[in-house]
Amino acid sequence: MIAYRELEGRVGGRWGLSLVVFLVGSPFWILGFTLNESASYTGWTHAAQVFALALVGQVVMGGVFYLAHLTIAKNRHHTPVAFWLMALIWSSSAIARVAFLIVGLSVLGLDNSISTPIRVTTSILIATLGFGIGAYSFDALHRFMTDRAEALKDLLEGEEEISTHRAAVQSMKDTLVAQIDSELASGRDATEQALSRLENSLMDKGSPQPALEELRVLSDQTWQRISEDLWKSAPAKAPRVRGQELLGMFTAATPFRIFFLSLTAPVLYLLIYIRAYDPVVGVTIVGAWVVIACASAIVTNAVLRRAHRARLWLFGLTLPLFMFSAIPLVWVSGEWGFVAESPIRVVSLHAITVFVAVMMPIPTTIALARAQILDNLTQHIDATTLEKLHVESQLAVVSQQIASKLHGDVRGNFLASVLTLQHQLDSADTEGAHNTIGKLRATLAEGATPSAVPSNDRAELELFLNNWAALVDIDLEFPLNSVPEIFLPAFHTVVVDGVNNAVRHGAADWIRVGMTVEEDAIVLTLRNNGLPHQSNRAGMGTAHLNQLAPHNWTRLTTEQGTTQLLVRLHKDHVGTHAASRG
Amino acid sequence: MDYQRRRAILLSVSTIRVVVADDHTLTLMGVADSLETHGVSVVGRAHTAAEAVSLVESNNPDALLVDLDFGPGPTGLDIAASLRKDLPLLGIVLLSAYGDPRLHSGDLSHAPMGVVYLIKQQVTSTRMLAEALTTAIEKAQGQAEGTLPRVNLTGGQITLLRLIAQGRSNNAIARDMSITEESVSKNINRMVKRLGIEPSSDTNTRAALLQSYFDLIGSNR
Repeated sequence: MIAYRELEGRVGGRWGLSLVVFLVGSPFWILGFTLNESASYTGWTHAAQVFALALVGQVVMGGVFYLAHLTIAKNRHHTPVAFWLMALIWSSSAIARVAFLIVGLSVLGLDNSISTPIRVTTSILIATLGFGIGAYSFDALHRFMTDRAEALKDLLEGEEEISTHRAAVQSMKDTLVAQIDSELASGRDATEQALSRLENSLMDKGSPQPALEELRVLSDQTWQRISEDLWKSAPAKAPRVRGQELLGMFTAATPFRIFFLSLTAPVLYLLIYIRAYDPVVGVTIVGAWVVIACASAIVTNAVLRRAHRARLWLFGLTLPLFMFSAIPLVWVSGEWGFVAESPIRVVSLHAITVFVAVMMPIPTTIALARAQILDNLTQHIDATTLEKLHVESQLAVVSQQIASKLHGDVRGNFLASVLTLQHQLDSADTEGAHNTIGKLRATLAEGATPSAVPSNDRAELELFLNNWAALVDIDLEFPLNSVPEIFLPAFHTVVVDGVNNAVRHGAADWIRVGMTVEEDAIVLTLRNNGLPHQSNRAGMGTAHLNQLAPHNWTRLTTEQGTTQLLVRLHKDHVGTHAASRG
Repeated sequence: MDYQRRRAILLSVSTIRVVVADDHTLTLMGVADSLETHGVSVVGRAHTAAEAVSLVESNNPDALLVDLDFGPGPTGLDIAASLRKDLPLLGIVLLSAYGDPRLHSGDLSHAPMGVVYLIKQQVTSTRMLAEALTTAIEKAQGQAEGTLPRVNLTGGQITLLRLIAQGRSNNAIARDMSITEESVSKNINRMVKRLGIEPSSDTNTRAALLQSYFDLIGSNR
């Protein structure tokens, strides 16, 4: 059961006076009044006048909502309004509407056959129940959408291992990089031309400012545009909830709820049957309808639970049966001598009321069946959709990484140089400007495109070791190309972690890396003179070792005081390893 | 900063001898040239860690202006730590786009004595660079503590954020960090709160985290 406080928070919060809830309910209020007034059945002109009255009455009701929204319920997003106060606001709006309608009927000289107490009671009842349930339902729908986005995220991650997805991601990556290469190439050509114009103006002793300005704009805009395009094209939103998806879940989880059908009974009686029949006959008919409707609901729900594929069709067929269930009742009662006053009005109002009663609990059903959300999602979101989402999710990472690189490595660097060039021109350093232009040309020719990012493990490791060699004595006791290809990513990870740990945490100043090749494995030895207790700390280093060489690595301190890491990498554990480097 | 101190710095920069190290040619050129135009004497320009160490040892400069990220291998902080052992009076300024060096590598959490850390996006003029060099020299002479900027995340969360930015799934991250997938999810939720991301049906949390990461490492959108 939902606690009272929570219920109050949901009903009296954001959705309590929501325009969306009001607009969703409005057609039912307007149609209900139009169909319920006896004046509507005395000619088209009168029907149109009643309809117009209903429309304006709805505006009056909305006015009370808006007034409350501006005053006493102003802060309901942060501090929900108390339940009794919300009920008071809804009731006030209903009373204001009724008052307007009664005056309107009188002014237009239309028949007013319903007593004022009945009108007021019915309106207050429907307003409180309708808007209360509506607010709760929209709150539940909002919560569902948030949960759904989370569930989708989990699903995507669970699907990562499917090879078809990886192939799709790779294909999209290739396309993306090719597209960026092409855009950068065109940008480079334009920049090259601008540099030539600048050089010519320097040689002709003309003003270099226009060409320089062009160069600055080009260098900034080209790369900024590409990287911004990438950011924008990276999908960051969860897909929208589809109506079919919601309806699918709703029909699977007891769509015809006995509670709501029973709740309809007093509304049906007060709104329709007390006016169409003698009170005792009206109560009898409504009572009979509730019993038949509830029994049918139990059977229908049970059938729908078992009918997997045909569930939506079955629901579509049974809903009209429930809605127009007044037809046999009106016919039978007529046969028994109890003829309804205006049978069309009874049937149409009954249909609208039952439709609202059945549809009202859609979001509530979803809220109560949260545990089923994930299961339902896997059933209703097909593999193609999932694959598309997965690719988009992966692409977001790739495109944002490339966008970052464009900003950091290319755009920023080029812009810095153009500023230097400007400074040289301002200080009339023509020779320096020529040199800078030469350097810019050389850089353009190098073509620092995203596809040039090093991706080769062997080359990257070689660079890593050479760079560290400037600070510590690193000795690789074997040629790097003797490491079997299959072990290279894992070898890369172990060496990078080992060297980083030894220097940064063990303060080592020499490191020796040895390797023995076996039939299905390689044995790596990393020795260093770093502090052993530091290098034994838990962290990413040990996590990688446990992952790549489970129970097959040791770290010990030798008698000479050196630290030795021994790792046996077996091909069964390293085959699919993709190193995560930092 | 008062006028007298600013004047003193501008006068003193003319006597500063500095080595500038950055693996990107154009950034190196831009920074070094602009320092020279402000009267700083650039005695060496290094593209690699090896060149930086060699140029510092051979030129005995007053200060080193070094980038944090040198690609695979040692970072600017590693170079600074290595040089600091033998050169206690060398002023060292680290220039980086990273708002927190742990975002580059999880174990970069300690600054050597006297190091001044400058975030590239916050440098709006060459004078700021010159002032940082002067401050670094003063701090080295005064044996002051080195300081690094910190974002409001724990070391574990920083590692998690980096792995997410590498496109790793929760499952892969759990394997990398030797924790359960459930812990990864919980840590992501805590991180989302700390970074002030509002979870909603319209937001893909992972993409929002990614955007936060790129904001923190200085990539504009």
